[in-house]
Amino acid sequence: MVFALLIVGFTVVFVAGAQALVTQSSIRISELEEQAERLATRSEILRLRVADLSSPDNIVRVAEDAGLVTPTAVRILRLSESSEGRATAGSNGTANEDALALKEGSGGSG
Amino acid sequence: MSRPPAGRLAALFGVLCLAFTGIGARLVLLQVRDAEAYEALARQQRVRRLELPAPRGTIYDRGGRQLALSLPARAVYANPGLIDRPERVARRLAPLLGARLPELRRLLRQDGSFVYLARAVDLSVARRIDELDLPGIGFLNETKRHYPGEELASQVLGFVGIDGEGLAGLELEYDRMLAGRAGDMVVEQDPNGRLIPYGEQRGTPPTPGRGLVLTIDADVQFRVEEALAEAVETNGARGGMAVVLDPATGDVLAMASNPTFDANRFRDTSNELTRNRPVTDVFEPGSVNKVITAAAALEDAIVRPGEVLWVPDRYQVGNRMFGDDEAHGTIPMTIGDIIGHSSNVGTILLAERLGADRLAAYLDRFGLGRETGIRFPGEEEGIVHPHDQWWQSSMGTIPIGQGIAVTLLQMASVYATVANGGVAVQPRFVLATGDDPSPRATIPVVQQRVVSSRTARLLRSILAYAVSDGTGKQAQIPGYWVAGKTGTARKPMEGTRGYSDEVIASFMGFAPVRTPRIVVAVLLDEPETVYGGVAAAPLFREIMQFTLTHLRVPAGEPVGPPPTAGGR
Repeated sequence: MVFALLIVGFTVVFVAGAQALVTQSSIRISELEEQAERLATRSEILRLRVADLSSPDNIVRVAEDAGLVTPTAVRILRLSESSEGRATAGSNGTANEDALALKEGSGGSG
Repeated sequence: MSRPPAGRLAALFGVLCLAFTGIGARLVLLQVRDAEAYEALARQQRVRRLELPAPRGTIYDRGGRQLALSLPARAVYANPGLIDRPERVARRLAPLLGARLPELRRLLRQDGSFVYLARAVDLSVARRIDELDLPGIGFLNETKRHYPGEELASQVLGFVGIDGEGLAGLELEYDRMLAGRAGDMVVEQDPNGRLIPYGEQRGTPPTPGRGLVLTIDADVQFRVEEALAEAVETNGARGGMAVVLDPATGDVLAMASNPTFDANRFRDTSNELTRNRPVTDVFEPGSVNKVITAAAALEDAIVRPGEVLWVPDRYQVGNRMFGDDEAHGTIPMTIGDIIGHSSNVGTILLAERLGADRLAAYLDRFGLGRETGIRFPGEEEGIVHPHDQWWQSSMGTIPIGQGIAVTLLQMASVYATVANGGVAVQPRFVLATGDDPSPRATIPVVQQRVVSSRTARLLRSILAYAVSDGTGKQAQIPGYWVAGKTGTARKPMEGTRGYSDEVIASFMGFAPVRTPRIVVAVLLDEPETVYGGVAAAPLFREIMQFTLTHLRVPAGEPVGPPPTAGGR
């Protein structure tokens, strides 16, 4: 009789313990799922933010707010025939046989 | 104590037997006969099949910037039968959903067990609604398409419907690839929608849609749209379009129409604005088409580059009189003069030497009258009748670009062919598929020779002369050598024969002239400034200058001018 009661007691304790473990795991799973969803949401919001900030109209808006302007006169520098040597940073420099010279594009159009 | 009568005991026993028999029978019915039905009912109450939407593929520009992307979102639904106080629920939901109160109230009071309250709701909003813990309100997973550039390339990209299906543009053309395949998951849930631990969980994961890497350059596209909008306003035009191509690969670096629309708000937009007009709309090209007549004449050697033709300012073909824009006597002109100064009569004389059948053959070789193959929904093939159906006066109209209809993309391809040494390259929007923004393997280029490299070189020289000394001077760019051609075509009247007073002004060309890297084609619809050289050439210059500098194209060297007769 005592033995039977012990068996029943152990069984009750075992089942209750297992149930508690299951419940605890369930709560933990639920918490982790919520956390994963929160992080996924955060990731998507950041991805969206990157896309919005990278769009050309936004870049232009930010640049204009920062006081930048679109250049109105563009100077085209053309390399002379010599392909070796150092480039000189002069703007209207004429070609030097040994140096890579830059000269301003003569303009006009073909 | 007297014993109960045997009869009553027997009766009680009989009743008990009957009762247990009844219970037993019911037990058998429940456990044996109806077991499957009850099992199914129980499963139905706790087992749910959830659809797992496939994330739609992202669309990138050629630099890897996201032009269209999908975000996870929620559909909010209600089971009106479970809602006790619809008025109160509607008042709490309306500000969160941005919905009108009467509409929400109506939805919550209607019959049935399912009604959508809002679609594609942001996750943050859905979470706030969930925190209200309103009975009868539920959520379904879905995705929401977002276009960060808003109006940027909107007509090219198109848009998707509420259920994530492509409805227009590249979203429609590549829908199957972008959409992927939805998955599903079978789970066991408690009455509150929470997963039952260690319950059944099985299913198929969704297959995400593949991405698209476009040939579009977002910076060039943005500048083209900006310049086009400015030109439309400055010239008082009804609208305009522009195309920027890489002639060697056929890559469409930019394509724009004005007016335009925000792809995020396509439901508020008329269909008129959503058309990608350089591909879907046709127009009579006018003088820009003269380059085909010239190409045919040079390729078939019916005229030598230095040969002088005596050109009057008026000339009759069939029952129609054709004339040049400016009055002049009969003057000597080479083919360079004819194209450079856009002489209608000179071009018609070249076409007469060529003959209708050869001219028609060259229109076909340059791709007019058929789709370019760019893969875009609703691409127009244009209108070019077979030469045996031409009118008598067609040998006057068609060589100068009237009596036929083309798309802007077709004309841009014609100039790309000349720029590319006489080899036509099929234009394309898609560089590669997949989600690698810097793909190594791209879709191969499709090309076909149309005229010889010698003819193309002569044409480049003639078109360069048109910009340096002819009708296209306003297309000159300081520091670069540009080739191009103006076009001014009167618009045909709608529903009847003949032409209206309204015009289409265009300019098409390429640079640098010796080794062309960029082709630009622009068109203004009904500009107040009328002529292509005045209205469209400055727009061409703006776009070409930006593209050349943005892509760091070296200035290059000029080409020699074509022989001229000095008659003009």
